[in-house]
Amino acid sequence: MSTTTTEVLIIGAGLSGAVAALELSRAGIAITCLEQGEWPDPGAYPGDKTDFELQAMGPWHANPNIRQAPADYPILDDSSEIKPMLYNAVGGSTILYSAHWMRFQPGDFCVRSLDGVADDWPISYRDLAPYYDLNDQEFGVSGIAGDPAYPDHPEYPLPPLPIQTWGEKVAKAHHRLGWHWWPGSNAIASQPYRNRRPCVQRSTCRAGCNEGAKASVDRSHWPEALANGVKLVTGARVFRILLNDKGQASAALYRDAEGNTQRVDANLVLLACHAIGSARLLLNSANSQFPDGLANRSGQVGRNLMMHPLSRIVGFFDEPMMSWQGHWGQSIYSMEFSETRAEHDFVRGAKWNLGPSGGPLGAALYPMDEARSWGNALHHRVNRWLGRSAVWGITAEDLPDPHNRLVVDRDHVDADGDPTIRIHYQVSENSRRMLDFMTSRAIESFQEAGAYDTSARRLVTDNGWHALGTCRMGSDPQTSVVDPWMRSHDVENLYIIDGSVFVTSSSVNPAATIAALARRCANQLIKTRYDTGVASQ
Amino acid sequence: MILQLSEDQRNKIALLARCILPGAHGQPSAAEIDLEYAGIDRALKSRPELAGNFCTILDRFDSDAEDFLAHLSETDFNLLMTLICAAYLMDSSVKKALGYSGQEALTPNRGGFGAEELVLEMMQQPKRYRDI
Repeated sequence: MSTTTTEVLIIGAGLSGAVAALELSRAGIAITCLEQGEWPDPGAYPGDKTDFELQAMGPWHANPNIRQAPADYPILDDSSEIKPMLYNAVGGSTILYSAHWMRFQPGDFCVRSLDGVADDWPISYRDLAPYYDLNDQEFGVSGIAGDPAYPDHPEYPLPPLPIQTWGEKVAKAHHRLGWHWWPGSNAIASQPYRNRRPCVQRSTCRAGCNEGAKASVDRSHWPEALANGVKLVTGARVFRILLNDKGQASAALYRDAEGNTQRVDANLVLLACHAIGSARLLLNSANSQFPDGLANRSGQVGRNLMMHPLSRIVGFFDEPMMSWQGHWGQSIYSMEFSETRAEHDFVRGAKWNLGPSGGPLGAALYPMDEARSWGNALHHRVNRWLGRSAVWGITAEDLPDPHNRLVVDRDHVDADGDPTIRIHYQVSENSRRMLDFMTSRAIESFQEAGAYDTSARRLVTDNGWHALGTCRMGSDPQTSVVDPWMRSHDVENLYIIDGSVFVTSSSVNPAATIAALARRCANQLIKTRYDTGVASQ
Repeated sequence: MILQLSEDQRNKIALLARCILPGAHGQPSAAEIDLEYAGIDRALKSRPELAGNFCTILDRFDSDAEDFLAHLSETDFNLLMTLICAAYLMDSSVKKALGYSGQEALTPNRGGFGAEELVLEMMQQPKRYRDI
């Protein structure tokens, strides 16, 4: 076993790890980042190949249990109504994400005060706003400011991507209905931006962006971070964080690509492994001081998992719209029903995003609420779908529930022999009522837009992109894992900087908020560089 | 390593494919394309990990395609449909009949994003978010 030393160790080279690495490296801080995956090969992305759809359903699937790539670790999901989606590589899940770039609404930070449910965050929209603003520039977001669903903020650096024929139809429909809509904000370049080419509307974002238009952090952040001197080690799966005799995080053990155990000593440790991976690592790092898992005196590590239950409604139109093309990000979104209303039989709300509907294989295999179809019925299904349909994706705000949780399963291990994780997750009655309501309204939206038919899936189980909340933030060490600066209550030099710190989930896509939180944390570390408790080596 | 399909398995693929994808709605029948040879080989080249289960399913098939498809488990049905539909839909004559040219790199109109006038109207609306 070899041992190396660094000032700051970041575990995970995905969204939050990249944001923190870049920010800290700009301040001249010595950083090592350990990433269990490898560098993605953009030349291998299947979007420009004839078998794109077939590849996207297998080796490029976002569910690691289906994909089963060497960098993936098994996630036991038979006790979960929603299956996890993530990617393990430099760039993390941003390699496959659709890059919907949404801020939380201000009320998302204070749901207890507004609606009497869950908990308030210990920070507000105003605390994060400067970092949202900075990251909009860093990620090259395309969009337009002025949405009345949000406080005023600076203009995005790039104009919106085309909202497409289907977007115009639905925008006009919402105008007539008096419902909110807005051109989609996406971390996808609509014009040349820094080192990125503009989007060519290939609609294959979910299997890697061939053009490099999408802001996956392997392209938007890591090149500069590496130029600033960050040491990035790939193929390095961390399996344990060690403490020194002062109870400080002092080192991480990892297995390298050859299976050899290696060690990195560090003054500060930042966990950026995704809400599933970070909780798993903490639980697997239990020791005599923390028998229930590192930094887990509260018992909250792994609990309060939120996964954004999703409905998908397809609208069918007579007019050919070439709707297999377009950015797979959002054409338009609607926050009409994102807030609690007295007349609803549920609290909180959902975010709607409208997008294209994909190619013919997806149309043929899409699980409709009907009997199996083949023969003439199958041709009919493909013909009416291909190029003539659009899709509302609706994400419900998922309230935290301590019974929705991750637990270590010592009977099952990963390729290195380390215990893996099991998800226990049930969709709440509140979410079910919400999705029932939203589905009916989305059908109304499409009908008003001229759709002659719709098809609804009230709960899409294979869509757990937004795992959040397994190491919640709070001011009280009894009920939370990290403080408002994302510093562990229990281990003074351990920070958790990914989506696991979310107190509540909002209804919007979390990437912009994960990135803003990571940048805010990094800035605080820079400001307090010599005040923070650091491990004595 | 691509699994080599036997002639018997290819015959079964042809029978099933003609039931799943007959000529209709302006689309060619699976019988009109080389599905049970080049088509299925191309699909299996993309997804070699499915070949073993695919062959196991084929080996259970006798002759009544309708009955076989109706009684397959959901997992087996999905696997069979995935490979046979992919083999069909990747064929150039099928794509041409569909008017589908694949996922292409386009040059979007950079002159505007669409519905700009409606956006301006939406901008004039009162703020609609809550806060404390």
